[in-house]
Amino acid sequence: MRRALVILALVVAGAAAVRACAGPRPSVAASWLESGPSGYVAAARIRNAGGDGEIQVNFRLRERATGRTVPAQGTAEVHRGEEVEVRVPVPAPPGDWSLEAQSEYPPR
Amino acid sequence: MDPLKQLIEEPGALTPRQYARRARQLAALHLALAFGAVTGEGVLFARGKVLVTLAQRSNVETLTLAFFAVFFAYVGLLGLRGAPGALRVVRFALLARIRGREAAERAKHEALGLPRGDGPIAALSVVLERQDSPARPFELAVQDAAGSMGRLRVDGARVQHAPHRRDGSANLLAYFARQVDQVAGRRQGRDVDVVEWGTLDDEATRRFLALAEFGRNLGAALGRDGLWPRVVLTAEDCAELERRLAAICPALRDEGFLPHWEYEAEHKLPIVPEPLGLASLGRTEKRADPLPSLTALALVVALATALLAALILYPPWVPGK
Repeated sequence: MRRALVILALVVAGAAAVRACAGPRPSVAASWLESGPSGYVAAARIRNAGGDGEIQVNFRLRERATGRTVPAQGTAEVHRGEEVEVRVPVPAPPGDWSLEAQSEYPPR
Repeated sequence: MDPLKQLIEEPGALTPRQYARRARQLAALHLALAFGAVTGEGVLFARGKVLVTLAQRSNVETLTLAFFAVFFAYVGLLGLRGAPGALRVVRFALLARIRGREAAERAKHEALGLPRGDGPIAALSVVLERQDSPARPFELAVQDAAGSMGRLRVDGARVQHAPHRRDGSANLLAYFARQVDQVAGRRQGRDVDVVEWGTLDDEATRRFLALAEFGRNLGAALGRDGLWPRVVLTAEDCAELERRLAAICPALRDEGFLPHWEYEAEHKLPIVPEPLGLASLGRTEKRADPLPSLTALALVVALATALLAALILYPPWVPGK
């Protein structure tokens, strides 16, 4: 019994240590495209279900008529349980664009 | 008997039920190994980019992942070698439920095919003799209603399983030694055990057997029968041994479908590790049964796969760009 309790305590301590060292677990809650004075700004709201760390958001603008794509990347420092907005200026000409956004951790 | 020795060297050697359980566990382990290694390899290749990024960001050598890839491939090949046999064991187990145990055993017996060699040899710690024909070699049948699985040839301290179907079994020799110990050894105050395995070290086995024969001949020349430790089997003992051998024939057939891994086992615990290597603890067993070897391997594969999956699902904190 005593040995089992010691093992259980060690397992709990190990799990707590691992949890404390956990990195972010980001997911895209919403993404949208804004028009700015010098072109477009790709924006995404990122929800972090993990710990602290730097995340990367990959945007991809796709022109609906031609299928032409313009990629863009942004990074952000996030904290545990936080929701952040990431905005990246995209040098794309005016047109009918759709936006895809993906978050990833660790940043490449 | 030393429990560690029992666990590593001769699991399943005490009772027919244990022997049957060992054969079933071996079949399951081969399948588990193949499945585990393929899963690990799949995780590695499906999410390789994440793992490589994590490795590079955390200053872990990226080649560690290559090691895992090679390790999973190697273990997968080991498991896949035994997987067809394991599936046949499952097939015959199902057949036994559908067509009855006797029909399934007969089909299994036929499927094993003809013998492929002379069979394994081992040296016992004592000389075995029959009471009704002392100092003469003798044989014991290993057979049940479904057919003969061979004969155990005993000549002094030398014991060999001469198979009638496919390969002989080294574990059968361990089982035989334990049964002789139970049936006659304890009664005569002797520990009966396998001390040399021909499949692992044939030279040492021959050397020991030559010495045992010399001792037996010297005893005969001096007129002192007990010069070399010996156990004498009565006709009733032999009949009981044959009954116990018959009881494991179904498991022996299952075992026949599986690869025979015969290795020594060495466990080393470095106290002051290399390159200094000032002190280390070690323990060697002459024979490691495939059951503990494959169990350990399956555990390592499961742990490695779980670790990789955990790193992917719950990536650790690493410094930013």
